[in-house]
Amino acid sequence: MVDTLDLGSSAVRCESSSLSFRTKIKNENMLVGLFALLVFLILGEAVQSWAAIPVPSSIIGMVLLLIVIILRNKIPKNIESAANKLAPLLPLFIIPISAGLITQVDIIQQHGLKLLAILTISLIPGALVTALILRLGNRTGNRLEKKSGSK
Amino acid sequence: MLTDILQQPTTWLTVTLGAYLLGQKLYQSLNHASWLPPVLSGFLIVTSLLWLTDTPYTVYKQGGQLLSFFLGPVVVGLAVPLFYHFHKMKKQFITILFAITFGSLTTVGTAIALAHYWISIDAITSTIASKSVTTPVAVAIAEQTGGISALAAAFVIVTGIIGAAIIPPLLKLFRLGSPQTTGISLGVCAHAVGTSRAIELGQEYAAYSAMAMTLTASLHAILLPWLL
Repeated sequence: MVDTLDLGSSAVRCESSSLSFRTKIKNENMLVGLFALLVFLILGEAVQSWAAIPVPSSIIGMVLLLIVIILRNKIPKNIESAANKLAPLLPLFIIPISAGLITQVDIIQQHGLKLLAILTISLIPGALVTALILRLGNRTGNRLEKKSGSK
Repeated sequence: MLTDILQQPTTWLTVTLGAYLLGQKLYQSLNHASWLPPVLSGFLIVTSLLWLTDTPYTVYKQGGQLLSFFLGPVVVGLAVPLFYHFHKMKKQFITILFAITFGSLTTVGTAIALAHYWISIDAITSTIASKSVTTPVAVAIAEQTGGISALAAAFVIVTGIIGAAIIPPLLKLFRLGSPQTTGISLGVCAHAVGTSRAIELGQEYAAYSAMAMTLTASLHAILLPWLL
C-alpha cells in the first residue's frame, strides 16, 4: 500500500529520481512515523471505547499525540515526515468516500438546490463574525500592549 | 471477462488512483483553479465510471476503502501542524481562538437552522453540521453522529469551493480584509480548499488559514458529537 501511495505522490510532484538514496532514508523514517500514527489511532480507539466518548477515535488519537508533543516540546522527526507526506495525498483518500454520493441521489434530486443555498448563505455570517472578532481583539490587544503589530 | 474485472477491488483502486492523477494534472493545467480541486474532478471521474459500468458502490468500496483507510492516520497527524502553529502564534492565540470558536459556530448554527426549517430531515441536519471542517474530520464526525458520510464529504467540498470564491471579496466589501482576517476566515469556513486559495494570496494568509482550519476541525470534532 505504502508503495502505491508513494508512487502517486512522487509522480504527481515530479520529484527528481536522482535522490534515490535520500528518498530511501526518508521513506524508512516515514514508515516509522506511519507506524507511530497508527499506534496513536489505536490508542484513540481504545480510549474512545473505554471512556465511551462520542468524539471520533482519530481525533482522540490526535489529541493524545498533541499531548505527547507538548510534553516533549518538540515534534518527533519521523512523525513529522509521515504527517507531511500523507497530508498532500488527502484528496486521494477522500475520493472513495465522496463517491458514495451516488447512493444518495434521491436526497440530491429532492433537496440539491436548497442544500446549495444553505451552504452558501451560512458562509456569510460565519466569515463576518470571525473577521469582526479578530478586528476587535487586535484593537484591544494593541491598546493593552504593543503586540501583533506585524500588520 | 469485463464484468469479472469490474468486480475486482484492484480495478477500482487503480481507477481511483488514476482519477486522482488526472484530476491533479487538470488542476495544474488550469493554473490551480479553485473551482476544480483534484478531489472534485477525481470524484466526477470515478462516479461517472461507476454509473457507466453500472457498478454498485458496495463493489467499488472494497477497492476504495484501501485508500480511505488512510484518513485515520492523516487526522492523527494533524497534531503536527496544530502544535507548530500554536507555537508560532502564541501571543494572539486567545483572540484567534475566540474568533475561530464563535465564527465557526455561527456558520454551522446558521446552516443547521436553515436545514432544520427548509428540509427537516434529521440525518441531513446532523450531516450539515460538519460542513465547515476538513473532509477527513467531517467524515469521522458524520459517522459518529449518525449523519451520512458521503453527504458530509460532498457538503465540505462544495462549501470549500464557494467559500474560497466569496470570502475574500466579501471581507473586502466590509473593509475587514487583511492577511489575518481573510486567512483565518478562509480556514474557518472553507477549510482545505480555502487554505489552498489562501496559499495563492500569500504566505501570511496561508499560515493563518492552515492554523484556523486545523483548530476548527479539532474543536468541532470534540464539540459537535455532544451537541447533536
